Amino acid sequence: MDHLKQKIETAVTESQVDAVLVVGVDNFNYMTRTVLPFAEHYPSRKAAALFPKQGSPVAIMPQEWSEAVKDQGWHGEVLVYDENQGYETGAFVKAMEELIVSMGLDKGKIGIDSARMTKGLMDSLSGKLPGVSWEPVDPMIRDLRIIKTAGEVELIERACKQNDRGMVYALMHLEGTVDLQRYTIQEFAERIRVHSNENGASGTSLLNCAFGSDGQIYYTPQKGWIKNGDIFRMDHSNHYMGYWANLGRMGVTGDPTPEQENAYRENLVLRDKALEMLKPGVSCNEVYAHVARAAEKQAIGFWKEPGIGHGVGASHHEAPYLNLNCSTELKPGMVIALDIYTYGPRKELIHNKDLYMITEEGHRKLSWYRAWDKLYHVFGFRTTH
Amino acid sequence: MKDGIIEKVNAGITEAGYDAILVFGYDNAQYLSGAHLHYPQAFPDRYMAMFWPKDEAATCILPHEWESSFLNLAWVNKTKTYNEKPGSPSSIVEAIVHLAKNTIRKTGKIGIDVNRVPLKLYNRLEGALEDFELVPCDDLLRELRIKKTPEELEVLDEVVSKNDMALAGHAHHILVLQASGEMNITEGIRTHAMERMLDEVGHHAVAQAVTGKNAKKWWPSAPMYGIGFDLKPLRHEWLRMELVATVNGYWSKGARLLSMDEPVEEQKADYNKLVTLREVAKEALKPGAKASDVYKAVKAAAEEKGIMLEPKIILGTGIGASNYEPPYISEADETELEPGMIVVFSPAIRDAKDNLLMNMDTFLITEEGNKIVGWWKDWREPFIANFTY
Repeated sequence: MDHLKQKIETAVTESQVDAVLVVGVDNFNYMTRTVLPFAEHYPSRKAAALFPKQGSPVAIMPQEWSEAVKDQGWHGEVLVYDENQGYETGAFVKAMEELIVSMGLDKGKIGIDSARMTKGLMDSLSGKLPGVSWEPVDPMIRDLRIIKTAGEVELIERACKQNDRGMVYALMHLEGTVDLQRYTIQEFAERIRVHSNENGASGTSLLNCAFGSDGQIYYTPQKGWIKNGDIFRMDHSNHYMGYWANLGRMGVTGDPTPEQENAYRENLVLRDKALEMLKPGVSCNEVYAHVARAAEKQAIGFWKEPGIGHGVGASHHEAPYLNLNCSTELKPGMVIALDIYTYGPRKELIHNKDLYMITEEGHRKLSWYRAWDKLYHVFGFRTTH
Repeated sequence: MKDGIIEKVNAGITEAGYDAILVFGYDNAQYLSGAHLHYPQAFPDRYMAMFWPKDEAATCILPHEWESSFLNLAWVNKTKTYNEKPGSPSSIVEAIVHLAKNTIRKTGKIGIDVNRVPLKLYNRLEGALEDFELVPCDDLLRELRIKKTPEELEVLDEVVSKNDMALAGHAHHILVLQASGEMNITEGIRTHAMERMLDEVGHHAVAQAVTGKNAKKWWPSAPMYGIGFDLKPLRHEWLRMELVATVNGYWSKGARLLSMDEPVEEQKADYNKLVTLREVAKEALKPGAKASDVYKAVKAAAEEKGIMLEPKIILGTGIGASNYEPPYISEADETELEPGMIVVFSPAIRDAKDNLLMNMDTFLITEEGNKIVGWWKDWREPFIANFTY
């Protein structure tokens, strides 16, 4: 991961600003190469990282998170602010003001992640630091993040394996129980998380198990019992050391009907069409259009509006985006979650979401642990062993 | 819950003189719609907003992919989807402009939660809504959310009680001689939470059990948060158990201490420090008192009795549609406490071995003073693990 550190330092050095300040949780994680504990659930509690062109970078945060950042090997300084020094973000702003003045940046130009920094926080900072010129550097951060280093890809690939194994292990527990012991959907989902952790994952975000008619929509809180005859969807995002996998798998309890099997096959047809286009030089909207044309030609209905995939890296959903609106050209080092939704016999959403890295030659599958080339059948009976 | 909140919001919009409010924060959107989606905060590159015109029905503007999930959970039944350009706010801005121009008067005043809306999105919005007056509405949202309706209090009572029950529920399985490791205990807490129908699955829920050297830290084994490894609690050690969980999008935060076997004298003394701080807080948490007064009272008591409070942290927060919201038991919060407010009192202290010890107790401010919410057992003593079976 040293290459990433160098890449970030070079980008800051070559930028048109005197320092870069990131407040977005995902940007913080990326730029510091550490993970904050569940910080996205604390919108009024701020952490930030300031990267000056000259001198050591500084991470600013509450006491509760500071030790964890140090323990992950953050190479810069840590500034812990006293949360009693201001109301909500007031203490953070005060600490930032003192820091920026102490670094001699109070008359300088500071780059910010304006797609994450709130309007209120920006007003507070600029009110305290009227001499600073605040410049959005979102494109710089986007460009940095969109192409992964070999070290980043390695972490994502490990996360994929943990993710798939988490789902497979949970499925193994499910086998032989559907008619007898019976699991709740909630317990099944939890088993995915547990087994993902047992396989070494560092954390879970999106976790959705949708059985039967619940599968007609993107997400609903998991409730109820697993029963026979349902097609089901497992969506699972996990990270390994801050790098994410975001996979989706399909199964069926009991013997699948021909309609269910056919629906899944249709999905794979479109996936294969998309794979033809996952290569350098092709724009994201071209990949989308290729799939849309194939779907039309073969009369396969698919859910167009969400697009057919997105990037994955220091977050589980990021640029580039495989949709009609994204003209980003695919390049080696990008990591793409290919995610095409088609429909089951009862309008259940069907997908088989894999991760691919764009290579010089085309692409390489990162979520290779299992082929998932047919619906996973949950069947069998229970024995004691 | 729906009626009470809708009534409050409509009254608030009118009193504040807004023609509409437009909110982007996932917590604010959930509060206004009832849709506990669990995941928007995990998608910082996707935008969702609630547009609520004065005396009219609200509309949720959101990515197409999320629409059916929203409608399945919300009391708001009007939505407007947009074709996403993820990372770019232009599509949602177009949708909002269309709504605003067709709903409220030209030059109308629109309140925006500026403490949630990203600057890039706000700037785009400001340009597109140049005929309108955009003003912050964070204070209104704060005032609405800080005092809970009876229905909200009912849900909070449920989630807080179940949280405590889940912690104690697994504590019952812990034996000194046959103790299992942190990972097993952590998962046991989660399982007991699920058994009580807490939303302990998803993107936000976390349990943690720490002991030995790990008890010295807030978040040991970073970044493997809330997972735990093989460290087993030993006789006469502390086990710190924590759980964050929700019911219908309403949050609870729990932390309890378990002593492995009857606590020794030092442990009793240390635990009593937490009890003392709680008693001070209980005395201070009452209508008319400022949140900062509660902080100062607890801080003064700690100094007087030589209790090592963890530095630079606040001593409690509100909970509701988020797990960290006003009022804050902080030196900087001048909020006057009122009946209907909820506070999770959460001091953290260090013992002589540098262990980080904490209890989290939820208080409801009442007309008479306060009431502790959800104690599964009397926490004037820690949970004491049996030696063996």
